[in-house]
Amino acid sequence: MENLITTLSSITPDRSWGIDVVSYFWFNGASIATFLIFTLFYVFEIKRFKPIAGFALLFSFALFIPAMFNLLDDLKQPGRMVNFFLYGWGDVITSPMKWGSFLLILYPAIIVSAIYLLFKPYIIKNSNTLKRDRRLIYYISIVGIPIAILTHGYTGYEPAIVHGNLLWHTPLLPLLFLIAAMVSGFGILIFLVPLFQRFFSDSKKIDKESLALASKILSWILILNFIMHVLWLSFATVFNDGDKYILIQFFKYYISSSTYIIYSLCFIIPTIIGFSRLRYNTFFLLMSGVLTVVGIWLFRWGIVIYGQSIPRAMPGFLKYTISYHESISFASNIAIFIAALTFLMAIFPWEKELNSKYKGVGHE
Amino acid sequence: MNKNRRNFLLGTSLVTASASMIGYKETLKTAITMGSRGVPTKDEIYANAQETEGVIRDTFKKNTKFSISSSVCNGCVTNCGVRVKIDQKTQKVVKVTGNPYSPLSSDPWLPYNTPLEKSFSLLGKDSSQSSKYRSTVCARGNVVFDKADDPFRVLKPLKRVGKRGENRWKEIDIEVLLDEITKGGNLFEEGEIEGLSSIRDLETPLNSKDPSLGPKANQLCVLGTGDDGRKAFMVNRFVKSFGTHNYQGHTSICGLSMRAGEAAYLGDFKKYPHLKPDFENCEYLLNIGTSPAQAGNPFKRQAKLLSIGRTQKRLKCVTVTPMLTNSDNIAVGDMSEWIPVLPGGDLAFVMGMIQVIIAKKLYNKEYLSIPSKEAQKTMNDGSFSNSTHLVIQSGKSINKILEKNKTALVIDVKDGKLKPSSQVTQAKLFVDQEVEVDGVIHVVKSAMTLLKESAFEFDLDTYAKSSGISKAKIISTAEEFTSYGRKAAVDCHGGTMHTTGFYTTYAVMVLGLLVGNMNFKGGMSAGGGRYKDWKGSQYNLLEYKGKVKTKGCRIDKTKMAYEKTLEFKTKVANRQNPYPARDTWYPFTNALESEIITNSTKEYPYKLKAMISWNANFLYGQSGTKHIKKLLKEPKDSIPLFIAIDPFINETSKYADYIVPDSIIYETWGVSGAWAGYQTKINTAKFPVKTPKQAKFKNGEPICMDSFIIELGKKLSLLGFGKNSLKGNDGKKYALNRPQDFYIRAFENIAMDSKAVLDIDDSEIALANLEPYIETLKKICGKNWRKTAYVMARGGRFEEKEHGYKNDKLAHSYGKIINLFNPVVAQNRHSMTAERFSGVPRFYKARLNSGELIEELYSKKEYPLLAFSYKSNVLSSPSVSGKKLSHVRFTTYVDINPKTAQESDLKHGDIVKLTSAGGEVLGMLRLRNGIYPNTIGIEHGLGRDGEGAVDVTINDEVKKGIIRRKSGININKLGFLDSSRELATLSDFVVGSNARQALPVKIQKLS
Repeated sequence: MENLITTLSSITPDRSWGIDVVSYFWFNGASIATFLIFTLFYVFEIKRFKPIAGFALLFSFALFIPAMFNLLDDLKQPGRMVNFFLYGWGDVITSPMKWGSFLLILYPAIIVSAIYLLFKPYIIKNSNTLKRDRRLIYYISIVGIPIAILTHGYTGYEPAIVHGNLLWHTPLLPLLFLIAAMVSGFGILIFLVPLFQRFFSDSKKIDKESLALASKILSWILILNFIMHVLWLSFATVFNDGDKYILIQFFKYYISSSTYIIYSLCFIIPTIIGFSRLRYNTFFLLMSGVLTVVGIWLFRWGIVIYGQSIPRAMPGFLKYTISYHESISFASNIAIFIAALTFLMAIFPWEKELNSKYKGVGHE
Repeated sequence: MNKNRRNFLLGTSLVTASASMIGYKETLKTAITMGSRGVPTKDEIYANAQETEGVIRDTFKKNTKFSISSSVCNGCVTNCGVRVKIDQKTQKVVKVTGNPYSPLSSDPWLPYNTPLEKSFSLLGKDSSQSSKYRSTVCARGNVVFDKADDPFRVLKPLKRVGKRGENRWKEIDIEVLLDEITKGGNLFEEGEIEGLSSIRDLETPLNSKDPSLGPKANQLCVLGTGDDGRKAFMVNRFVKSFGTHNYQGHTSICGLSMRAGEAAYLGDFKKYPHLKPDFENCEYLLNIGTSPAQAGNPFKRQAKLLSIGRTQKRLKCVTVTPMLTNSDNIAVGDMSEWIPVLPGGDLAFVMGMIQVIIAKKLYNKEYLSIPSKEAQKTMNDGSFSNSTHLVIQSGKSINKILEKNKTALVIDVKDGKLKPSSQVTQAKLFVDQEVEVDGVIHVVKSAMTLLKESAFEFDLDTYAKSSGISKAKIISTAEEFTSYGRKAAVDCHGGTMHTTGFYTTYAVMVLGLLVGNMNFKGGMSAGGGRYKDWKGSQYNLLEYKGKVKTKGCRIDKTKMAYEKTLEFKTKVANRQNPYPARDTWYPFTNALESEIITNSTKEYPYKLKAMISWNANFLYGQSGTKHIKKLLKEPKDSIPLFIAIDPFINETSKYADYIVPDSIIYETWGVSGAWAGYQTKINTAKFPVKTPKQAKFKNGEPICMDSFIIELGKKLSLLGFGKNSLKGNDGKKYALNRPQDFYIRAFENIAMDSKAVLDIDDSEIALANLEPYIETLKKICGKNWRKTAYVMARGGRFEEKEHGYKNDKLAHSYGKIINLFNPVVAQNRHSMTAERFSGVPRFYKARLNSGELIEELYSKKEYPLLAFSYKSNVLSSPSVSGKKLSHVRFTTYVDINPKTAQESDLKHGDIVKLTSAGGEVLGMLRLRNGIYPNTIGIEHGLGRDGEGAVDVTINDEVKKGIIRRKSGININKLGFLDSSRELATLSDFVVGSNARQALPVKIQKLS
């Protein structure tokens, strides 16, 4: 007998969303989160964030670029991307994707404007418009806050509105996404800021106070993240009616215990670090950053990839195998992030902006 | 920043950006050039989405790029009415939806006189009635039409090259083919073959020593399949004109056990009526060996009505099968139940239920005591039975019903006297005594007494063990079943195709009798009937001068008792014990496709000289055909001339000598009725709605079964074809030269039956795309042409829903006596064992025809598992050539209970071999909890060896087979011979239905 069998229990259909979408959610979330961290000083005037606000702004743009590449690559027909902006406006109220199409124009415009205004004094040496620019930054940032929230919030809507997916279909998902975004934003900052301060700033000094504060805030957000998870999953697997059985099977049999362990450690360890003196230690800070970045990536993966593994018409959970093309896309995406980040850090005078923060403030 | 560090950052940026660009090369290139990847779609925004067939504003405006025609889907045998959307330019079907006028696709269905335009605009999104009349097709119906473009479709007549079965062919002109098959000759360099002209001899006995076998003409066998609406044409116009007694359908490999059991119950072995529940009003439905919503007929209708019933908490649906299928659904909670049963164990389960019902007196005594039509009328009941009729227990008249002047005699409960049943309102139910009639003493028992004795022959523990269902469950099911009054119904089908299937079905039906559900709302129905089509007010299309009253013996030994044969009479005359016969005879079976080839080879009763098969595929559909393949390969041994009319080269037509292409779905003519399960009249009309692709006759008619039969009939000079062969009731005669001459007249009959339908107007003609038929309609139907077109536009004629019931009963009722005891069955003996058949349902263990038990011959030690097949909700044997269907169901598996797998050290995904006494199959193991332990379940429909699964050579060009079609398992390869017979497959011991369930097998892991 000759058989062409592709899976043991089910045929996995072409997956609508693959690794591009996982990465998009991650980069998009980290981008808006770092923008929001930027506004902690420039809108809410939390002085302890002054030294890292400039970083955060540049990071937000550097994170935005790979996010867009993910979107572009995920399109099966990237040559038609302009149609995304030209058509479908009749569904703007009920289509999160349509919200995305103008948010993804508005949001980068805000970041770029803020970057220009922030670094202009350091590039145009005799600028007389410092105060005005500062005011403009303030107003742009105020507008930018809801825009940023929506720019990531809409991505949470996209899976949440899918009725047929039992894991996704919860009104908590946009909130979960936003909290995850904040975690990843703080995480990437805590990881990258020390590296740049140590190796690329003139003073080679790491601002441990600011980063420690960031770490502590991160810990609180992780607590909130945990509470949201509990709310979400308790309703899904305990208080849901018929749907809960497949989700119980999903959590019990489909996801491996090692995944649970890694996922938990990615959040528990940074929480401990953030609430203890360890947050002043650079090594543990970096560890915290890496773990949260990985943890949130796992979360995005779980939502997108594992979520699509829940079958609707066949017995058995579907299996995902990353394709060669997807592997290349992922690697290219990381590369473009590094390229964008290093480029921005090379051409923008962030160290001058940083140094201006330390007048009269001591740091190690 | 330090310059070096800045350069480092810039360098890093450059390198990583370059690497990234290489990775994103294709994406960026496509984005920048605004190019396309892969195969470009029709539209950038709407991809390959179809244009709509019209637009609904206030009214429906049709898109002239498409035609939307009414037709019939033949994805399975339900024959649902559908609407077909065809691209006018390419003549390809692009979409199929349900026909909202048809009860088989919609419930409720549109009132018949709803304007055609409304039948579209009512379904628009802004209509308040769009959900109500939304009409659907199933998974198969949605996609199966793509087989029209299958590369393996036969479009030109073929003649074999080389030996039979080598699957090598050459194209042949149809006229040459007709010439060869009618004249015969040394057609294949294998010796002389007698042609059909010579075979058609109505005078010369085919066996001079035994003229009872009939004339030579009987040596042609015509083998059909399920009735797709054209069977009446084939049988009445060709078979009965040629004069052969041998027409078989596919019933013996499909559901004969069910059909025969129900025919016994309804006391009609001529017409073989069958019953279905009134799904719409039923409150308790017991499905045995059938799984509604998984399979069954009418497939969609029953699924929809059962869903509605269960979600409204009006109906409890219980399915008794070895496999948990889509029939059970936790969404409806306790309105649905699955009772796992051992394959073949259903008879024991039902007999156990009957025992409980009788013991606890849960039966409807008042109903069962009605002995006659007169009493039925007096009692205002729905039917009557012979439960109280008296069966003679000894003497020459044994097993006959005690009668006087052709009226059954019963004991009146009022005075205990023996009286004609017509004079009694309530007769005594349990009788076991002597009575005197005209001075003769008879020992008699009532049918109900016989049933009781039969049911109590074994105890409940035995029934529980044999069925695999606990005693408690048997009792509780019996109690629950009888607690719903007349609104408890039963259904059964293919799961009963085993060696005791006949009695299984008979017993299942008797459950319904015990509650008196016949003809009651929510009970059992024989269907709503049909408008007169073949024999109507305008024409009698089935009668013509020269129609032969065929006679003799059928090749399958059916409809004839062994005791009437020369073999029997000779043995008796020679004072020999006439039993056993050389082989089994089937006095009340209607047809046995499964025995044609072997009987012809054995020349018992005689040898066939030719066979015309029409869309038949017994080599795939019959369980256990290894031996038949070998026989078919040798023309001289089996059947010298084999002509297949088939749109594909399937497992069976592969062995033909000639293949004549047939039209397929949406290309054919026909008028279908419906399986019971509907309460109003249904005639579904079909006519070609797209241009068939086959080669044509000289007159321009595409070659198909109908046109081929016409030309063959003319070639053979058969009466009933050509000029003046169609009879009008006005005395006029008409020609039958093309299929439309026949079918359009049938449509006209339908249109004019009882109150004639309305006239169609021109706007509806345009909407229904009937313009191409106008001239033909005018020519054929004269002044009735607009009425005929009205029927065509709506896809048939469908009685209004409100005519289905009269108060608490069905408006179209079954009027004949219900047979708790069937005297025809009881008066016959098994031709091998001389065993008298029980006239009431009785428990038998699975057995060969000789009576030897399967469990003893094939012990559990050697064959520990029982294999069964279950019907697919997606696949069917005519659907493998549908490419899109493979996206829904790619392959099939060996299903096993995880407990059983664990005991045999087997795991999910193992490649295993199943072996039976007759064959073996390989498959991939799939563990599922919803299957009876120690059984194997196999979804039927794949594992093909024909219809594109294997290489075919035509005109020396090899067409490579599509390997995917071989994927999966054909359970029929596990079928085996009945070792107590000569060259015959395992079958039901009473009616001969092919036993394809409960096959003992063993399992072995391969990898």
